Amino acid sequence: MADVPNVEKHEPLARYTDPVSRYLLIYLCILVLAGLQFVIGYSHLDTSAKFARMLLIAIAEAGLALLFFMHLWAEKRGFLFFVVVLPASYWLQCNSVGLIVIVWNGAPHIRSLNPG
Amino acid sequence: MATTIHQPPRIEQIGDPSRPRSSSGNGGWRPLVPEGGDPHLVQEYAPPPASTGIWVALCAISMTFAALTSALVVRKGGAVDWRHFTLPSILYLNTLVLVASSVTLEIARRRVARFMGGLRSAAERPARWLYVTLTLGVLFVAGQYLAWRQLSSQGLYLATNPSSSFFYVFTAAHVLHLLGGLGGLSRVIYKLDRLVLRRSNFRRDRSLLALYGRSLGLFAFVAVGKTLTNSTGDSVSQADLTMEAHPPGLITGLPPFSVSAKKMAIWLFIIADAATFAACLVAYGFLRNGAAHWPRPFHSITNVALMTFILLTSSLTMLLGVRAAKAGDKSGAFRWTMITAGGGVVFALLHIREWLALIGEGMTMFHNPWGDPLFGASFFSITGLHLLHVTGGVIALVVVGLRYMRARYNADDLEVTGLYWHFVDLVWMFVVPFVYLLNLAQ
Repeated sequence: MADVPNVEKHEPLARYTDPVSRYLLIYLCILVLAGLQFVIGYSHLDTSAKFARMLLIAIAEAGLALLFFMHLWAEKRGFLFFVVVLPASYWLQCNSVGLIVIVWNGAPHIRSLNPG
Repeated sequence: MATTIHQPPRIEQIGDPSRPRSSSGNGGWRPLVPEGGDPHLVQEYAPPPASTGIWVALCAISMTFAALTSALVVRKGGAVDWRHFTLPSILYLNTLVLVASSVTLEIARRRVARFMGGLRSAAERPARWLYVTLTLGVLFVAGQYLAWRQLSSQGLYLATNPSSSFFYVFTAAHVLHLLGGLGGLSRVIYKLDRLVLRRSNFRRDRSLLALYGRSLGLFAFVAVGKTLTNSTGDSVSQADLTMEAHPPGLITGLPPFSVSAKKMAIWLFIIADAATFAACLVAYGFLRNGAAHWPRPFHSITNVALMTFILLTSSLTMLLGVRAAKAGDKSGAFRWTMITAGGGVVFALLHIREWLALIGEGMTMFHNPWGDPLFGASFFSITGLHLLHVTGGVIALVVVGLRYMRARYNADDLEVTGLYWHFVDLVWMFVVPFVYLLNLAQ
Protein backbone atom coordinates (compact mmCIF):
# COMPACT_ATOMS: atom_id res chain seq x y z
CA MET A 1 0.00 0.00 0.00
CA ALA A 2 1.32 3.39 -0.91
CA ASP A 3 2.30 5.73 1.86
CA VAL A 4 -0.48 8.17 2.38
CA PRO A 5 1.07 11.60 2.34
CA ASN A 6 0.19 14.57 4.42
CA VAL A 7 -2.80 16.11 2.71
CA GLU A 8 -3.44 18.99 5.06
CA LYS A 9 -4.58 22.01 3.16
CA HIS A 10 -2.08 24.76 3.67
CA GLU A 11 -2.86 28.42 4.07
CA PRO A 12 -1.11 30.85 1.74
CA LEU A 13 1.45 33.06 3.39
CA ALA A 14 0.51 36.25 1.54
CA ARG A 15 -2.95 37.02 2.88
CA TYR A 16 -3.48 40.59 1.68
CA THR A 17 -4.62 41.75 5.10
CA ASP A 18 -2.35 44.78 5.31
CA PRO A 19 -4.11 48.06 6.01
CA VAL A 20 -4.88 50.23 3.00
CA SER A 21 -2.76 53.00 4.49
CA ARG A 22 0.33 50.83 4.02
CA TYR A 23 -0.48 50.25 0.37
CA LEU A 24 -1.03 53.99 -0.08
CA LEU A 25 2.30 54.74 1.54
CA ILE A 26 4.14 52.34 -0.76
CA TYR A 27 2.28 53.77 -3.74
CA LEU A 28 3.28 57.31 -2.79
CA CYS A 29 6.90 56.22 -2.32
CA ILE A 30 6.94 54.68 -5.80
CA LEU A 31 5.27 57.76 -7.24
CA VAL A 32 7.88 60.04 -5.64
CA LEU A 33 10.70 57.85 -6.92
CA ALA A 34 9.21 57.92 -10.42
CA GLY A 35 8.98 61.70 -10.18
CA LEU A 36 12.62 61.80 -9.15
CA GLN A 37 13.52 59.96 -12.34
CA PHE A 38 11.82 62.67 -14.37
CA VAL A 39 13.71 65.36 -12.45
CA ILE A 40 16.99 63.57 -13.16
CA GLY A 41 15.97 63.27 -16.81
CA TYR A 42 15.78 67.07 -17.06
CA SER A 43 18.95 67.69 -15.05
CA HIS A 44 22.24 68.73 -16.62
CA LEU A 45 24.16 65.64 -15.56
CA ASP A 46 26.03 63.69 -18.20
CA THR A 47 24.33 60.60 -19.62
CA SER A 48 26.37 58.08 -17.60
CA ALA A 49 25.52 59.79 -14.32
CA LYS A 50 21.86 60.02 -15.29
CA PHE A 51 21.84 56.37 -16.24
CA ALA A 52 23.37 55.26 -12.94
CA ARG A 53 20.95 57.32 -10.84
CA MET A 54 17.91 56.27 -12.84
CA LEU A 55 18.91 52.62 -12.66
CA LEU A 56 19.24 52.77 -8.88
CA ILE A 57 15.87 54.46 -8.53
CA ALA A 58 14.23 51.97 -10.90
CA ILE A 59 15.66 49.10 -8.83
CA ALA A 60 14.31 50.70 -5.65
CA GLU A 61 10.88 51.14 -7.26
CA ALA A 62 10.88 47.55 -8.52
CA GLY A 63 11.97 46.31 -5.09
CA LEU A 64 9.09 48.08 -3.39
CA ALA A 65 6.62 46.74 -5.95
CA LEU A 66 7.98 43.21 -5.65
CA LEU A 67 8.08 43.14 -1.89
CA PHE A 68 4.82 44.89 -1.04
CA PHE A 69 2.57 45.03 -4.10
CA MET A 70 3.44 41.50 -5.17
CA HIS A 71 3.71 40.38 -1.54
CA LEU A 72 7.07 38.67 -1.83
CA TRP A 73 7.83 40.05 1.62
CA ALA A 74 5.10 37.85 3.08
CA GLU A 75 6.31 34.71 1.35
CA LYS A 76 9.05 32.44 2.59
CA ARG A 77 12.57 33.84 2.31
CA GLY A 78 13.53 30.84 0.19
CA PHE A 79 10.90 31.83 -2.34
CA LEU A 80 12.22 35.38 -2.44
CA PHE A 81 15.67 33.97 -3.15
CA PHE A 82 14.22 31.64 -5.76
CA VAL A 83 12.32 34.38 -7.57
CA VAL A 84 14.82 37.20 -7.49
CA VAL A 85 18.36 36.18 -6.78
CA LEU A 86 18.86 32.94 -8.68
CA PRO A 87 17.43 34.00 -12.06
CA ALA A 88 19.10 37.40 -11.80
CA SER A 89 22.53 35.96 -11.11
CA TYR A 90 22.17 33.34 -13.83
CA TRP A 91 21.02 35.91 -16.33
CA LEU A 92 23.83 38.30 -15.49
CA GLN A 93 26.46 35.60 -15.82
CA CYS A 94 25.31 34.41 -19.22
CA ASN A 95 24.32 37.66 -20.87
CA SER A 96 27.04 39.92 -19.63
CA VAL A 97 29.71 37.70 -21.13
CA GLY A 98 27.83 37.12 -24.37
CA LEU A 99 26.72 40.65 -25.06
CA ILE A 100 30.00 42.25 -24.08
CA VAL A 101 31.84 40.02 -26.52
CA ILE A 102 29.31 40.84 -29.24
CA VAL A 103 29.65 44.55 -28.74
CA TRP A 104 33.40 44.20 -28.58
CA ASN A 105 33.36 44.13 -32.36
CA GLY A 106 30.31 46.21 -33.01
CA ALA A 107 30.94 49.32 -30.98
CA PRO A 108 34.51 50.49 -30.60
CA HIS A 109 33.82 53.10 -27.96
CA ILE A 110 31.87 50.74 -25.71
CA ARG A 111 35.17 49.89 -24.03
CA SER A 112 35.15 53.21 -22.28
CA LEU A 113 31.50 52.68 -21.31
CA ASN A 114 30.83 56.19 -22.47
CA PRO A 115 27.33 56.51 -23.91
CA GLY A 116 27.08 58.60 -27.02
CA MET B 1 -9.01 -15.93 27.93
CA ALA B 2 -10.75 -13.64 25.61
CA THR B 3 -9.39 -13.22 22.18
CA THR B 4 -9.51 -9.80 20.63
CA ILE B 5 -9.91 -9.73 16.92
CA HIS B 6 -8.79 -6.50 15.45
CA GLN B 7 -10.55 -5.01 12.49
CA PRO B 8 -8.27 -5.50 9.48
CA PRO B 9 -6.96 -2.25 8.13
CA ARG B 10 -9.16 -0.81 5.43
CA ILE B 11 -7.24 -0.32 2.24
CA GLU B 12 -8.77 2.50 0.32
CA GLN B 13 -8.51 2.17 -3.42
CA ILE B 14 -7.91 5.66 -4.62
CA GLY B 15 -7.12 5.00 -8.19
CA ASP B 16 -6.11 2.28 -10.55
CA PRO B 17 -2.87 3.00 -12.34
CA SER B 18 -3.59 0.29 -14.89
CA ARG B 19 -6.75 1.84 -16.18
CA PRO B 20 -6.71 3.65 -19.53
CA ARG B 21 -5.61 7.20 -19.50
CA SER B 22 -8.23 9.83 -19.69
CA SER B 23 -8.23 12.63 -22.17
CA SER B 24 -9.28 15.17 -19.62
CA GLY B 25 -6.39 17.48 -20.31
CA ASN B 26 -4.64 16.75 -17.06
CA GLY B 27 -1.77 14.87 -18.59
CA GLY B 28 -3.80 11.73 -18.88
CA TRP B 29 -2.68 10.08 -15.70
CA ARG B 30 -4.15 11.68 -12.63
CA PRO B 31 -7.87 12.03 -12.01
CA LEU B 32 -8.87 15.62 -11.41
CA VAL B 33 -10.77 14.75 -8.25
CA PRO B 34 -9.80 11.84 -6.01
CA GLU B 35 -12.66 9.47 -5.33
CA GLY B 36 -14.43 10.77 -2.27
CA GLY B 37 -11.73 13.36 -1.87
CA ASP B 38 -11.63 17.08 -1.60
CA PRO B 39 -11.05 18.76 -4.98
CA HIS B 40 -9.08 21.47 -3.23
CA LEU B 41 -6.38 18.90 -2.53
CA VAL B 42 -5.84 18.40 -6.24
CA GLN B 43 -5.81 22.12 -6.88
CA GLU B 44 -3.10 22.44 -4.28
CA TYR B 45 -0.96 19.82 -6.01
CA ALA B 46 2.44 21.05 -7.00
CA PRO B 47 5.44 19.27 -8.51
CA PRO B 48 8.48 18.53 -6.37
CA PRO B 49 10.90 21.46 -5.92
CA ALA B 50 13.59 19.82 -8.07
CA SER B 51 11.18 19.57 -10.99
CA THR B 52 10.16 23.19 -10.57
CA GLY B 53 13.81 24.15 -10.33
CA ILE B 54 14.73 22.47 -13.59
CA TRP B 55 11.82 24.18 -15.35
CA VAL B 56 12.97 27.55 -14.06
CA ALA B 57 16.47 26.75 -15.27
CA LEU B 58 15.10 25.76 -18.69
CA CYS B 59 13.11 29.00 -18.89
CA ALA B 60 16.18 31.04 -18.02
CA ILE B 61 18.36 29.11 -20.47
CA SER B 62 15.76 29.51 -23.22
CA MET B 63 15.61 33.23 -22.60
CA THR B 64 19.39 33.47 -22.71
CA PHE B 65 19.59 31.81 -26.10
CA ALA B 66 16.58 33.78 -27.33
CA ALA B 67 18.31 36.99 -26.28
CA LEU B 68 21.48 35.99 -28.09
CA THR B 69 19.46 35.11 -31.19
CA SER B 70 17.69 38.49 -31.08
CA ALA B 71 21.02 40.26 -30.68
CA LEU B 72 22.36 38.33 -33.68
CA VAL B 73 19.40 39.30 -35.87
CA VAL B 74 19.60 42.98 -34.90
CA ARG B 75 23.38 43.13 -35.23
CA LYS B 76 23.35 41.39 -38.57
CA GLY B 77 20.48 43.52 -39.88
CA GLY B 78 22.19 46.82 -39.18
CA ALA B 79 25.74 45.80 -40.09
CA VAL B 80 27.78 46.62 -43.14
CA ASP B 81 30.78 44.73 -41.77
CA TRP B 82 29.09 41.37 -41.40
CA ARG B 83 31.32 38.67 -42.82
CA HIS B 84 29.83 35.40 -44.03
CA PHE B 85 31.90 32.26 -43.64
CA THR B 86 31.41 28.60 -44.41
CA LEU B 87 30.45 26.53 -41.42
CA PRO B 88 32.82 23.63 -40.70
CA SER B 89 31.27 20.49 -42.14
CA ILE B 90 31.78 18.61 -38.89
CA LEU B 91 28.97 20.68 -37.38
CA TYR B 92 26.42 18.81 -39.49
CA LEU B 93 27.75 15.52 -38.17
CA ASN B 94 27.68 17.00 -34.68
CA THR B 95 24.02 17.87 -35.06
CA LEU B 96 23.24 14.26 -35.93
CA VAL B 97 25.27 13.09 -32.93
CA LEU B 98 23.27 15.36 -30.64
CA VAL B 99 19.96 14.17 -32.05
CA ALA B 100 21.12 10.58 -31.61
CA SER B 101 22.11 11.32 -28.00
CA SER B 102 18.62 12.63 -27.31
CA VAL B 103 17.14 9.42 -28.68
CA THR B 104 19.50 7.22 -26.67
CA LEU B 105 18.79 9.25 -23.56
CA GLU B 106 15.08 8.69 -23.99
CA ILE B 107 15.66 4.95 -24.50
CA ALA B 108 17.84 4.89 -21.40
CA ARG B 109 15.23 6.73 -19.38
CA ARG B 110 12.55 4.22 -20.32
CA ARG B 111 14.78 1.24 -19.61
CA VAL B 112 15.88 2.56 -16.26
CA ALA B 113 12.27 3.35 -15.37
CA ARG B 114 11.31 -0.23 -16.14
CA PHE B 115 14.27 -1.49 -14.16
CA MET B 116 13.33 0.65 -11.18
CA GLY B 117 9.76 -0.59 -11.46
CA GLY B 118 10.98 -4.16 -11.25
CA LEU B 119 10.08 -4.94 -14.87
CA ARG B 120 13.69 -5.51 -15.91
CA SER B 121 16.53 -7.26 -14.19
CA ALA B 122 19.97 -5.88 -13.48
CA ALA B 123 21.40 -8.44 -15.91
CA GLU B 124 20.01 -6.37 -18.76
CA ARG B 125 22.35 -3.54 -17.77
CA PRO B 126 19.96 -0.62 -17.57
CA ALA B 127 22.86 1.84 -17.62
CA ARG B 128 24.07 0.70 -21.03
CA TRP B 129 22.16 3.37 -22.96
CA LEU B 130 23.29 5.98 -20.47
CA TYR B 131 26.87 5.13 -21.36
CA VAL B 132 25.99 5.42 -25.06
CA THR B 133 24.48 8.86 -24.41
CA LEU B 134 27.52 9.91 -22.42
CA THR B 135 29.80 8.79 -25.23
CA LEU B 136 27.78 10.67 -27.83
CA GLY B 137 27.90 13.77 -25.64
CA VAL B 138 31.68 13.56 -25.37
CA LEU B 139 31.87 13.04 -29.14
CA PHE B 140 29.81 16.20 -29.62
CA VAL B 141 32.17 18.22 -27.45
CA ALA B 142 35.14 16.83 -29.34
CA GLY B 143 33.46 17.67 -32.64
CA GLN B 144 32.81 21.19 -31.44
CA TYR B 145 36.45 21.57 -30.52
CA LEU B 146 37.46 20.40 -34.00
CA ALA B 147 35.07 22.94 -35.54
CA TRP B 148 36.71 25.72 -33.54
CA ARG B 149 40.11 24.51 -34.68
CA GLN B 150 38.97 24.55 -38.31
CA LEU B 151 37.71 28.11 -37.97
CA SER B 152 40.85 29.33 -36.27
CA SER B 153 42.94 27.73 -39.04
CA GLN B 154 40.97 29.94 -41.47
CA GLY B 155 41.94 32.98 -39.41
CA LEU B 156 38.53 33.40 -37.80
CA TYR B 157 38.87 34.14 -34.11
CA LEU B 158 36.59 35.54 -31.44
CA ALA B 159 37.35 39.16 -32.24
CA THR B 160 37.83 38.82 -36.00
CA ASN B 161 34.32 39.76 -37.02
CA PRO B 162 30.87 40.07 -35.36
CA SER B 163 29.76 36.91 -37.16
CA SER B 164 32.62 34.87 -35.74
CA SER B 165 32.01 36.41 -32.30
CA PHE B 166 28.42 35.24 -32.40
CA PHE B 167 29.48 31.80 -33.54
CA TYR B 168 32.01 31.35 -30.73
CA VAL B 169 29.70 32.77 -28.04
CA PHE B 170 26.75 30.66 -29.16
CA THR B 171 28.66 27.41 -29.43
CA ALA B 172 30.67 27.99 -26.26
CA ALA B 173 27.51 28.74 -24.28
CA HIS B 174 25.94 25.60 -25.65
CA VAL B 175 28.95 23.44 -24.87
CA LEU B 176 29.00 24.80 -21.31
CA HIS B 177 25.40 23.74 -20.86
CA LEU B 178 26.13 20.38 -22.45
CA LEU B 179 29.03 19.81 -20.07
CA GLY B 180 26.63 20.47 -17.22
CA GLY B 181 24.33 17.83 -18.66
CA LEU B 182 27.19 15.35 -19.01
CA GLY B 183 28.12 15.97 -15.39
CA GLY B 184 24.57 15.20 -14.33
CA LEU B 185 24.52 12.12 -16.51
CA SER B 186 27.78 10.86 -14.98
CA ARG B 187 26.30 11.33 -11.55
CA VAL B 188 23.24 9.29 -12.48
CA ILE B 189 25.37 6.52 -13.97
CA TYR B 190 27.53 6.47 -10.86
CA LYS B 191 24.50 6.20 -8.64
CA LEU B 192 22.89 3.53 -10.76
CA ASP B 193 26.03 1.44 -10.88
CA ARG B 194 26.61 1.69 -7.17
CA LEU B 195 22.95 0.96 -6.44
CA VAL B 196 22.99 3.26 -3.49
CA LEU B 197 20.35 5.68 -4.55
CA ARG B 198 16.87 5.51 -3.21
CA ARG B 199 14.41 4.70 -5.96
CA SER B 200 12.32 7.83 -5.69
CA ASN B 201 15.31 10.12 -5.89
CA PHE B 202 16.72 8.18 -8.76
CA ARG B 203 13.53 8.48 -10.73
CA ARG B 204 13.50 12.19 -10.16
CA ASP B 205 17.09 12.61 -11.32
CA ARG B 206 16.50 10.60 -14.49
CA SER B 207 13.41 12.47 -15.54
CA LEU B 208 15.00 15.87 -14.90
CA LEU B 209 18.13 14.93 -16.76
CA ALA B 210 16.13 13.65 -19.72
CA LEU B 211 14.29 16.96 -19.84
CA TYR B 212 17.53 18.92 -19.70
CA GLY B 213 19.18 16.72 -22.30
CA ARG B 214 16.35 17.15 -24.75
CA SER B 215 16.42 20.90 -24.28
CA LEU B 216 20.12 20.99 -25.07
CA GLY B 217 19.36 19.17 -28.29
CA LEU B 218 16.92 21.93 -29.14
CA PHE B 219 19.43 24.70 -28.49
CA ALA B 220 21.99 22.97 -30.66
CA PHE B 221 19.69 23.38 -33.63
CA VAL B 222 19.51 27.10 -33.02
CA ALA B 223 23.23 27.36 -32.53
CA VAL B 224 24.09 25.87 -35.89
CA GLY B 225 21.24 27.61 -37.67
CA LYS B 226 19.31 24.44 -38.29
CA THR B 227 15.67 23.58 -38.02
CA LEU B 228 14.01 24.32 -34.70
CA THR B 229 12.82 20.83 -33.98
CA ASN B 230 12.23 19.10 -30.72
CA SER B 231 14.67 16.28 -30.57
CA THR B 232 12.47 13.53 -29.24
CA GLY B 233 8.85 12.90 -28.58
CA ASP B 234 7.61 13.12 -25.03
CA SER B 235 4.49 11.05 -25.32
CA VAL B 236 4.50 9.04 -22.16
CA SER B 237 7.79 9.80 -20.53
CA GLN B 238 6.97 12.23 -17.75
CA ALA B 239 3.64 10.65 -17.04
CA ASP B 240 5.09 7.18 -16.67
CA LEU B 241 7.64 8.23 -14.16
CA THR B 242 5.37 10.52 -12.22
CA MET B 243 2.77 7.82 -11.96
CA GLU B 244 5.28 5.65 -10.20
CA ALA B 245 6.24 8.44 -7.88
CA HIS B 246 2.75 9.62 -6.96
CA PRO B 247 -0.28 7.41 -6.65
CA PRO B 248 -3.17 8.90 -8.60
CA GLY B 249 -5.23 11.48 -6.82
CA LEU B 250 -2.79 12.01 -4.00
CA ILE B 251 -0.52 14.85 -3.17
CA THR B 252 2.78 14.42 -1.44
CA GLY B 253 2.80 17.12 1.17
CA LEU B 254 2.93 20.87 0.86
CA PRO B 255 3.87 22.53 -2.41
CA PRO B 256 7.33 24.07 -2.68
CA PHE B 257 7.77 27.27 -0.65
CA SER B 258 4.12 26.90 0.46
CA VAL B 259 3.13 28.60 -2.78
CA SER B 260 0.14 27.25 -4.70
CA ALA B 261 0.65 25.77 -8.15
CA LYS B 262 -1.17 28.64 -9.83
CA LYS B 263 0.94 31.25 -8.13
CA MET B 264 4.12 29.30 -8.83
CA ALA B 265 3.16 29.13 -12.51
CA ILE B 266 2.67 32.89 -12.80
CA TRP B 267 5.94 33.51 -10.99
CA LEU B 268 7.74 31.23 -13.42
CA PHE B 269 6.17 33.15 -16.28
CA ILE B 270 7.19 36.45 -14.67
CA ILE B 271 10.77 35.23 -14.25
CA ALA B 272 10.96 34.19 -17.89
CA ASP B 273 9.30 37.39 -19.07
CA ALA B 274 11.60 39.50 -16.92
CA ALA B 275 14.56 37.84 -18.63
CA THR B 276 13.05 38.75 -22.00
CA PHE B 277 12.59 42.41 -21.09
CA ALA B 278 15.99 42.56 -19.44
CA ALA B 279 17.59 41.13 -22.57
CA CYS B 280 15.77 43.69 -24.72
CA LEU B 281 16.87 46.57 -22.49
CA VAL B 282 20.46 45.38 -22.33
CA ALA B 283 20.58 44.95 -26.11
CA TYR B 284 19.07 48.43 -26.45
CA GLY B 285 21.73 49.82 -24.12
CA PHE B 286 24.51 48.29 -26.17
CA LEU B 287 23.00 49.58 -29.41
CA ARG B 288 22.70 53.04 -27.90
CA ASN B 289 26.29 52.99 -26.73
CA GLY B 290 27.50 51.70 -30.05
CA ALA B 291 25.81 54.40 -32.10
CA ALA B 292 27.66 57.54 -33.03
CA HIS B 293 24.50 59.66 -33.35
CA TRP B 294 21.77 58.28 -31.16
CA PRO B 295 18.57 60.31 -31.57
CA ARG B 296 17.12 62.35 -28.71
CA PRO B 297 13.70 63.11 -30.13
CA PHE B 298 11.58 63.66 -27.01
CA HIS B 299 10.89 67.34 -26.36
CA SER B 300 7.98 66.89 -24.00
CA ILE B 301 7.39 64.05 -21.60
CA THR B 302 3.99 65.09 -20.37
CA ASN B 303 2.40 62.16 -22.15
CA VAL B 304 4.89 59.68 -20.67
CA ALA B 305 4.47 61.18 -17.20
CA LEU B 306 0.70 60.80 -17.49
CA MET B 307 1.07 57.21 -18.70
CA THR B 308 3.39 56.42 -15.79
CA PHE B 309 0.98 57.93 -13.29
CA ILE B 310 -1.93 55.94 -14.71
CA LEU B 311 -0.01 52.66 -14.70
CA LEU B 312 1.28 53.12 -11.15
CA THR B 313 -2.21 54.02 -9.95
CA SER B 314 -3.66 51.00 -11.69
CA SER B 315 -1.27 48.85 -9.67
CA LEU B 316 -2.75 50.32 -6.51
CA THR B 317 -6.31 49.71 -7.68
CA MET B 318 -5.39 46.15 -8.59
CA LEU B 319 -4.01 45.66 -5.11
CA LEU B 320 -7.22 46.98 -3.60
CA GLY B 321 -9.19 44.63 -5.84
CA VAL B 322 -7.27 41.57 -4.71
CA ARG B 323 -7.54 42.71 -1.12
CA ALA B 324 -11.31 43.03 -1.46
CA ALA B 325 -11.50 39.60 -3.10
CA LYS B 326 -9.51 38.02 -0.28
CA ALA B 327 -11.87 39.67 2.19
CA GLY B 328 -14.87 38.22 0.36
CA ASP B 329 -16.09 41.56 -1.00
CA LYS B 330 -17.07 40.43 -4.49
CA SER B 331 -18.56 43.64 -5.79
CA GLY B 332 -15.64 45.68 -4.44
CA ALA B 333 -13.14 43.32 -6.02
CA PHE B 334 -14.95 43.48 -9.35
CA ARG B 335 -15.17 47.27 -9.23
CA TRP B 336 -11.46 47.74 -8.50
CA THR B 337 -10.51 45.18 -11.14
CA MET B 338 -12.54 46.98 -13.79
CA ILE B 339 -11.04 50.33 -12.74
CA THR B 340 -7.62 48.73 -13.20
CA ALA B 341 -8.59 47.47 -16.64
CA GLY B 342 -9.87 50.96 -17.47
CA GLY B 343 -6.52 52.41 -16.46
CA GLY B 344 -4.84 49.91 -18.75
CA VAL B 345 -7.06 50.95 -21.66
CA VAL B 346 -6.27 54.65 -21.11
CA PHE B 347 -2.57 53.82 -20.90
CA ALA B 348 -2.74 51.90 -24.18
CA LEU B 349 -4.60 54.72 -25.93
CA LEU B 350 -2.06 57.30 -24.76
CA HIS B 351 0.71 55.00 -25.91
CA ILE B 352 -0.79 54.61 -29.37
CA ARG B 353 -1.27 58.37 -29.59
CA GLU B 354 2.40 58.85 -28.87
CA TRP B 355 3.39 56.27 -31.47
CA LEU B 356 1.24 57.99 -34.08
CA ALA B 357 2.87 61.34 -33.27
CA LEU B 358 6.35 59.84 -33.74
CA ILE B 359 5.32 58.11 -36.96
CA GLY B 360 3.92 61.43 -38.13
CA GLU B 361 7.36 62.97 -37.61
CA GLY B 362 8.84 60.40 -39.98
CA MET B 363 9.94 57.65 -37.63
CA THR B 364 9.62 54.05 -38.80
CA MET B 365 11.25 50.80 -37.73
CA PHE B 366 14.42 51.40 -39.74
CA HIS B 367 14.33 55.09 -40.50
CA ASN B 368 14.09 58.34 -38.59
CA PRO B 369 15.04 61.92 -39.34
CA TRP B 370 17.24 62.37 -36.25
CA GLY B 371 20.11 59.87 -36.38
CA ASP B 372 20.83 56.18 -35.97
CA PRO B 373 18.20 54.15 -37.87
CA LEU B 374 18.12 51.43 -35.20
CA PHE B 375 16.47 53.83 -32.77
CA GLY B 376 13.07 53.15 -34.32
CA ALA B 377 13.53 49.40 -34.24
CA SER B 378 14.59 49.37 -30.59
CA PHE B 379 11.97 51.91 -29.50
CA PHE B 380 9.05 50.16 -31.19
CA SER B 381 10.29 46.72 -30.11
CA ILE B 382 10.55 47.56 -26.42
CA THR B 383 7.49 49.76 -26.08
CA GLY B 384 5.53 47.47 -28.43
CA LEU B 385 6.38 44.43 -26.32
CA HIS B 386 5.25 46.29 -23.23
CA LEU B 387 2.08 47.50 -24.93
CA LEU B 388 1.37 43.91 -25.93
CA HIS B 389 1.66 42.90 -22.28
CA VAL B 390 -0.65 45.73 -21.21
CA THR B 391 -3.22 44.70 -23.81
CA GLY B 392 -3.02 41.08 -22.71
CA GLY B 393 -3.32 42.20 -19.10
CA VAL B 394 -6.44 44.25 -19.79
CA ILE B 395 -8.08 41.29 -21.54
CA ALA B 396 -7.09 38.99 -18.67
CA LEU B 397 -8.43 41.44 -16.08
CA VAL B 398 -11.79 41.74 -17.81
CA VAL B 399 -12.15 37.98 -18.35
CA VAL B 400 -11.03 37.03 -14.84
CA GLY B 401 -13.09 39.83 -13.28
CA LEU B 402 -16.26 38.73 -15.07
CA ARG B 403 -15.68 35.08 -14.27
CA TYR B 404 -14.97 35.99 -10.68
CA MET B 405 -18.32 37.73 -10.47
CA ARG B 406 -19.99 34.63 -11.89
CA ALA B 407 -18.20 32.53 -9.25
CA ARG B 408 -16.28 30.60 -11.87
CA TYR B 409 -12.98 31.98 -10.61
CA ASN B 410 -11.97 32.68 -7.06
CA ALA B 411 -9.82 35.23 -5.23
CA ASP B 412 -6.67 33.22 -5.99
CA ASP B 413 -7.25 33.66 -9.72
CA LEU B 414 -7.65 37.39 -9.23
CA GLU B 415 -4.44 37.44 -7.19
CA VAL B 416 -2.54 35.64 -9.95
CA THR B 417 -3.83 38.13 -12.55
CA GLY B 418 -2.87 40.93 -10.19
CA LEU B 419 0.69 39.62 -9.96
CA TYR B 420 0.93 39.78 -13.74
CA TRP B 421 -0.41 43.34 -13.77
CA HIS B 422 2.10 44.44 -11.13
CA PHE B 423 4.84 42.93 -13.25
CA VAL B 424 3.72 44.95 -16.28
CA ASP B 425 3.87 48.03 -14.08
CA LEU B 426 7.31 47.05 -12.80
CA VAL B 427 8.71 46.71 -16.32
CA TRP B 428 7.51 50.22 -17.17
CA MET B 429 9.63 51.57 -14.30
CA PHE B 430 12.69 50.53 -16.31
CA VAL B 431 11.37 51.39 -19.78
CA VAL B 432 10.59 55.03 -18.93
CA PRO B 433 14.06 56.12 -17.81
CA PHE B 434 16.07 54.21 -20.39
CA VAL B 435 13.91 54.64 -23.48
CA TYR B 436 12.39 58.06 -22.82
CA LEU B 437 14.23 60.07 -20.16
CA LEU B 438 17.73 59.30 -21.44
CA ASN B 439 16.60 60.43 -24.90
CA LEU B 440 15.24 63.83 -23.96
CA ALA B 441 16.14 66.56 -26.40
CA GLN B 442 18.92 68.72 -25.02
